[in-house]
Amino acid sequence: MSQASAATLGYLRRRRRVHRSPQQRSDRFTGLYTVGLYTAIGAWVSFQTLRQSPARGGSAIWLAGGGLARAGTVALLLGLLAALRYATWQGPVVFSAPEVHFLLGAPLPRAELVRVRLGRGLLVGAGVGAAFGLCAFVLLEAELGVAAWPLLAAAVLGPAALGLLAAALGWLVESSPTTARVLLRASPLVLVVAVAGWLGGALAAEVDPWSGPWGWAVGPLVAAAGGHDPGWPVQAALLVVLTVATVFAAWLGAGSVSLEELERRAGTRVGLDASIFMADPRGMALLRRQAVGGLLGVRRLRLRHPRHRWLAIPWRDTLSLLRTPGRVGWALVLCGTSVLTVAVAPDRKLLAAGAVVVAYLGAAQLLEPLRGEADQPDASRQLPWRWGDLMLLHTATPILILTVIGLGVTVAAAWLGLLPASTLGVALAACLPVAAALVWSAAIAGQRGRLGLDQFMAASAMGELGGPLHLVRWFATGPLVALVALLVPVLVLQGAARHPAPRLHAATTNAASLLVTALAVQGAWLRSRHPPD
Amino acid sequence: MAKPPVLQLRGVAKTYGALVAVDPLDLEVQPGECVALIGHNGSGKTTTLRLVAGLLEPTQGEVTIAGDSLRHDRSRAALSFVPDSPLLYPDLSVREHLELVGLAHGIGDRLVGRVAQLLELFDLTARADFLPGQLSRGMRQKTQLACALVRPFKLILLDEPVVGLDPPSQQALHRVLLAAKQDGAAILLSTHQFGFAAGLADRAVMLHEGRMVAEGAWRSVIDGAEAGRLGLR
Repeated sequence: MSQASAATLGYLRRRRRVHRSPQQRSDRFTGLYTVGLYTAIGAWVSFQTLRQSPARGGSAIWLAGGGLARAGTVALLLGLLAALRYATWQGPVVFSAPEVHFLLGAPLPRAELVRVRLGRGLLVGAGVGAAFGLCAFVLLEAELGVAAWPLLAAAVLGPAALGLLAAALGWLVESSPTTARVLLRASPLVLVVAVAGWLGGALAAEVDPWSGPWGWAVGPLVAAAGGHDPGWPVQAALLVVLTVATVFAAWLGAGSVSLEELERRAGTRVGLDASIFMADPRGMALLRRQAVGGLLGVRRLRLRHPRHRWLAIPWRDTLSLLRTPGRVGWALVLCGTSVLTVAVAPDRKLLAAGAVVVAYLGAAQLLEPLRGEADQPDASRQLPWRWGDLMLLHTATPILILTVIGLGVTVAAAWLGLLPASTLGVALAACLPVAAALVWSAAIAGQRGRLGLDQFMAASAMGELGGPLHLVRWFATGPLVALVALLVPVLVLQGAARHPAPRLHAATTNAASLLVTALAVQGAWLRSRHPPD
Repeated sequence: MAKPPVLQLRGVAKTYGALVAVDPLDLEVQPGECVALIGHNGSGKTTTLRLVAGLLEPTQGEVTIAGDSLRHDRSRAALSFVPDSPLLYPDLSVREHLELVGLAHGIGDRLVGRVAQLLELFDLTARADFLPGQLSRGMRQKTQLACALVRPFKLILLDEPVVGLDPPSQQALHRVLLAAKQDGAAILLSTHQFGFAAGLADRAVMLHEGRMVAEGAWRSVIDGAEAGRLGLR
């Protein structure tokens, strides 16, 4: 590092240290100590619980038979993908706004300044990978009971190397808008292929040399866990070579980023820190969308407006969803998974509950225009409807889309033989009310707007247990409403599934009545709402 | 028989604990009349407009629009509001904003022509398909104004409408508002730009620390002793 850079950074470090109070240092230490302590205790308790579980060993055959290779490969691929997508709007090198103006604006070699941050980003990447590996070690050791040290080494070192690689690749993405654009466009396809490969069992039971770095990180783990993977030394060597080469390339290209890019990310970071502090995931999502939207540009399309005024809101919602087709894609994936899960295992209560929550998340994808309305309720003053009516109008398009998705997936399930022909009619008839119940549940949560300062302050005043519970209740309202509306009718049907036809018919009628009642309550509740403050 | 007022405030007040944002205020605005709210920052102009728009609940008193309470759907149809900072949907283009508002108010066959006319008036035609994120602050303000004008209204509320507008757009807005007045619409605006309000405002209401300190014909209030005392001239 040049003398000028070293002197400037040294001065900055010293001045910051002077301004950091002993209380701040103590708080920082306490925070790190608490996280470390809770992690260690949690890991030990999880390990002992799994070790002593009566069901222990049940998964060992699946893991040794290729399950570990498949699950590990997909999990690490998804992790790498998430890290690279994060690099399209934040990434391993982020400066604060003052640093961009004062430090990067000074006549100092930019590469030197960036390398300080890049080094820290690489360490964080390796640390996150190692932590992920440590979790995997705890689970595998408790389940398999194999020799601990080789398993620990394989579980920690492989993901740590992949984390390092992800951080280095992340910097390459961060410094090239073209690469970032390609990644954003291609990653949904990679995701779909990975999930399809996982569901279809197309991935090999063994990790092959061409399975990519995410597979190479898993090979040694499979071998250490007692599985069959003779090629693991080659895979480990390939992973090391690729990681070192990528880190070297990132280090060399440290000065290739534009000031504009770093300033944009610094601006986003300010908002992101505020959103994290305020436990505001909506704020984070909006910041991410804004940053990514700047990279991808705007989808230009026109949709002829309808003639009837009551169709104005469904028209604008359709336009919005056409501009973000990824939302419809997510709704299809989530709701399709939910329907297929219920069709495959119709008598499992816990799976049914999980399916309702997953379908709720799918429905929530389609309600972005409603959430946008709740973000700035004053904008609706130009529209002639009361808030409650406006919210109901915003649910029309999502209900329609979700119904079409439900009909399509139900027919597909019947075609695949997962749904008996005798129940097809009832299942198809249920699509519309179930879609309405899911969308209205999401609307009940969405119309409240973002988690406000008043809610946050209320949570802060409720103490260590009450505060988090208050926030959990806020975020869980939508899924809970969906569970109440849908799980009770599902349980009624499940209870009568093995009984003769007359009792099944009566149960179907009861379930339908319960669903209609839930819909009436949801609709009336939504209609009575007022704009958030 | 005198026409009933389009806007009537009877003892409307807004307090936040001990802080008085608006002291009990009585005000009437007649059809075809423009009333300007003037005063320093924090004098209660925006709070008054937000009370009339129904965005704030008065602590006491009542607001009626064309004889209807603010809770009535008819008052929403009669009232158009331009806030002090543009509030636009991030996922709709300029043209679509205008189409949405016009459609929601049942403009019908005249919508396409009306949208094109307003886009032209505010020099937005070339950017009609841009999203708000691609516009400057001034362009967003013009979009907000066009949205307020594309629909029919009996009363329009404008909060600092010319902040961020270029001179040609200010003149265009002036012309449109004069035409609306002649068509019988009432206007209530808050502004620091006396040049813009002159020739448009019939009356002025001067607010200071939430209280009405002067009220009357525009020229007499602007030239009056209170305006001099408060340094508003």
